[in-house]
Amino acid sequence: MKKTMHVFLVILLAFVVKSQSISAKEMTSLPLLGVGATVQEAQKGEFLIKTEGLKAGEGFVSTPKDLETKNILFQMEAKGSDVVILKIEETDARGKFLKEKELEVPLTSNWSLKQLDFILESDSSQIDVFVLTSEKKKTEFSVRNVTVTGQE
Amino acid sequence: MYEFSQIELKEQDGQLIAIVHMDIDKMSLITEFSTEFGKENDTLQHSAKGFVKKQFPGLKIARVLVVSGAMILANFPSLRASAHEVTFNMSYLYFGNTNSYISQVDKTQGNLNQVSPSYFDLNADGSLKISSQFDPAFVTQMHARGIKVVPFLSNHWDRTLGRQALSNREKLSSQIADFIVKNNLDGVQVDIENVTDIDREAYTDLVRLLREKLPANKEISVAVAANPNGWTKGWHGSYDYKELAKYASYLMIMAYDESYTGGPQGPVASYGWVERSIQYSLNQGVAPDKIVLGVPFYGRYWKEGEATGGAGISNNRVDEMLAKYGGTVTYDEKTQSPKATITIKPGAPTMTIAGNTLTAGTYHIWYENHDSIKAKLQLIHKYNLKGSGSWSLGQESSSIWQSYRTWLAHDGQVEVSTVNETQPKEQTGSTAPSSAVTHIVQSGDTLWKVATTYKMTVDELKAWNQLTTDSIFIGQALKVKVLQTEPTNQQPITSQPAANTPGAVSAPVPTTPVPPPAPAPKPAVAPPRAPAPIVAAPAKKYPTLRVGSSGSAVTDMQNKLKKAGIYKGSVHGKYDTSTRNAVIAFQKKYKLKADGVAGPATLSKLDAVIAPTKVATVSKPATTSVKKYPTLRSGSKGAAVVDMQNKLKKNGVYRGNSLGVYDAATRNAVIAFQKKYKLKADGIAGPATLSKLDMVTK
Repeated sequence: MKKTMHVFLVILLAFVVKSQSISAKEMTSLPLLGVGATVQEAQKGEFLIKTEGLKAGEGFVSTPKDLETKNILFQMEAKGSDVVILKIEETDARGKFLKEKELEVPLTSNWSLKQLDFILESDSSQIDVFVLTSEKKKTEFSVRNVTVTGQE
Repeated sequence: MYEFSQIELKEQDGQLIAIVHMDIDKMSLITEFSTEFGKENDTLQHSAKGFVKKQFPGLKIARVLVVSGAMILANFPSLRASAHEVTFNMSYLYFGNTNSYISQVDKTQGNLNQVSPSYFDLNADGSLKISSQFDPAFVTQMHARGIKVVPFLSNHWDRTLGRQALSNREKLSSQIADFIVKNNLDGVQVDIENVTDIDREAYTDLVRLLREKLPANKEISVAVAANPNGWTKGWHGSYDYKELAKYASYLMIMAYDESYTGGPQGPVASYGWVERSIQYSLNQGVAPDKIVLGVPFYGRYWKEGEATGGAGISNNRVDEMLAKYGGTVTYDEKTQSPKATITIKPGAPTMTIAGNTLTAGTYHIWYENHDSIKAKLQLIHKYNLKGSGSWSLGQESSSIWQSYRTWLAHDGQVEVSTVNETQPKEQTGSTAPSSAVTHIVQSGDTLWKVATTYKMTVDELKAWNQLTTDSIFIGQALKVKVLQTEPTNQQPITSQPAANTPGAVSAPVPTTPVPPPAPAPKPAVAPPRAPAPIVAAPAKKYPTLRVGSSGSAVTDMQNKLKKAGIYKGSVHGKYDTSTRNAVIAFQKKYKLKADGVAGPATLSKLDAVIAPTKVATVSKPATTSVKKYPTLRSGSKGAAVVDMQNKLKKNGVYRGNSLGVYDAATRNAVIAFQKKYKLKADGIAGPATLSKLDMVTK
C-alpha cells in the first residue's frame, strides 16, 4: 500500500510540475491600451474600460510577444451589459496584415470566461488582441486575467 | 548674336528673376524701342535665354529681364520656368556621433538642406526621451552650413511603445514642441512605425497636435510606409496620407525594403515598386510638393546555399567588397537595380558586415549604384515631387554626391553634365580584385603624407581622386593603393553590430573604411624625423557657403574674392546675389563647377589663389628621406613600440616603463595623446598618430 501511495505521489508531483510549466507560457499582465477608450485599473488585476462612443470598434488592444507556438488561445474574464467583439489580428514581422478572427460575445453583470483561439500563419508573426464594442455607443465593461496562451 | 555684360538674380514673390545686363553701345542692332523691335526682340530673347541657361543651368528662373542701365529692353518668361527642379534634399543620421555626422554631411558637397538625426526616442510610458546622440554643437554646426536639423521621433519598430506614444500624444507633443524651441531645432519628423490601422486616427491626431503646438517656422513631417499595393490594414493602414499631409510640411515615403531580411532575393527598391508607391500617395490626394521620395543608401545580400538571407549592407561596403574580392555587377533594366555577385574564395581574408563575418561562398547583393539612384531621382521630376530623402547618410558611395545636384537640377529634358561625373568602376561589369582602398583624411594629413603612406606619387593620388587642387579636407575619402603586406592571419574589417529594428531603421551599420596596415617597422634603424610641416599645409576644414549664408566665413571669402580681383562689392559678411555672381566667376575662371555655391573645392582653390606661398607644395623633398610609419596596436612588440613609449613619456602621457610591449597602459597613453591632439582616439598608433608624436616630441 505504501508503495502504491509512493507511486501515486510521484505521478501527482509530475502532474503538478507539468501544469506549472504550461502556465509559465501564459502571458500574464498584458498591458491594455485604450482604443477610443480609457483603461483604468479598478482593483488589482481588474480593469474598467470606458469607451468614448464616437464609433463602433472602441475598447482596448494588447500585443503579446514571444509566442512559442502557432496555436494560441486568447482568454479573459469579463463583465458588462453589452455585446463586445473579441478579435485577434496577425501581421507578419514587417507589419503586413495576414489575417484576423473575430467573435461576438454578450457580457452580463457576472464575471464569465471568454475565449478565442487562433492559428498563426508564421512563427515570426506579430499579433494584436482586442476587445471592441460592436456598436457606436458609450460603453463600460470590465476585464481581468487577460492572457494569451500558447497551446501544445 | 548679342553680348551681355552681367547677370544678376532677384527674388520676387518667391520666384527668381534673371536680370541680364547689356552695354548700350553693343545694342547697335536694336532700333531703340520702336515697333520695329519685334523681330529683333525674338533674337534678343533667344540670346538672353541661352545666356541665362549657360550661367545657371540648374536654376528654375521664372522671368528674364534684359536691361541696359535703368532701361528694360525685354521682359519675358523663361523657358526654364516650366522645368521641374528639386532643391530639397534630406538625409537621416543614425549611425555615428557628432564628429562622424559632420564629416558625413561635409562629404555631400552641399547637396543637403536638411538632416534628421535620431534625437527623439520614447520612454515606456510614451513620453519624450532625448537620445544620447543629441548635441547642441551639431545643431550649431549645421546651421552655420545653412542646413536645417529636424530630428526624427522613433519607436524603433516597437508596436506597444508606438501605441503608448499615440495614447500619450497630448503630453508628448508638448514635450517635443518645447524641446525644439528651447534648443533651436527646426522641427520634427514623426517616424512611428509598426502600429496598425487601429491607430490611424490617433496617428493623425499626434501630427495635428504637433502642428498646433510648434511655431509656424518649425517644420513637421512624417515618414510614411511605402504602399504600392494600397493596403489598408496592418502597418500600412496606420497612415492616413491625405489627412497627415494637411498638417505636415511633407510626407517622406520610405520607398525601400521591398526585399527584406528573411524574404526572397530581390531589389530593395525596384523602379516599378517605387513608382507605384508615389502613385498611391498622389491618388490619396497628397499634393506632389508635399511628397519626398526616400531612397535607400543600402542593399541586401543573400549567400548561395543558405536558407535565408537579406541582411543589410551599405552601398559603400558593396563597393569595398567588389574592390577586395572582385565580382560581377549586372544591371537589371526592368527593376533599374544593380546586382553584384561576389565570391569569397576559401582562405581569402574575411570581411565583417554589420557584425556578421562573411565567410567563403558566393554572395548575391542587390543594392544601389549611380544608375539606380539616378533613375529613382528622375521619378521626382516625373511627378513634380518636393525632393529626396535618404536612409541613411554615410552608407552611400560618396561619389554620388558629385552628380546628385545635377540629377535633381533638371527634369531630364536638359542634360547638364557634371564636373567629374564618375561612377566607380566597381559599380558596373566585371571587376577583378582591386588594389584600391579608401583613406579618410584626418587632421594633419596632407596630399604628400597620404601619397607616401600608400606608396603613391602625389600626381597619382590626385589622378585617382580627380583632385584639381592640392587641398584636401578632414573627412574626405581618398582612394589609395592597398599596401602589399607580409601574409598575416585573416584580419577581418570589423564593424559595429547591426541595428535590430526594421523599417526605416533596418539598414545596416555603415563603417568607416579601415586603412590597410602599414608595412612592418624596421626596428633596428632609428627612423628619420618626419618632414617639416611646411612641406605641406595641414588639411583645412572648409564650410559650404551659399546664398543666405552669413558670418565671418562669408566675410573671409569676400575679402579673398576681392584680393583675387573677382569681387568688387562691399565686404559685409552676407552671401548675396553679387557674392554669388563673384563665386560663379571665380569658379569659371578656375574651371570649377560653376554653381555659385562655395564649398570646400572652391574655398580651397581661393586660398590657393590668393596665398600661393601657403599652399601645399607637394613635390618630394630632394634630400629628406620619407619616413614610413607602422601601425602599432595592443599586442605589438619591438623597438617601434619602445620608441613610441619613449616619445609618449616625453609628452607626459605615459608613465610606465618603455619595455616594448603595447599593453593596456600604452594603449591608454596613446588614447590620451590622440585626444590631446584631436586625432581619432582609438588607441591604435597608426601613421597619423606616430607622425604627430614625432612632430610634437622635442
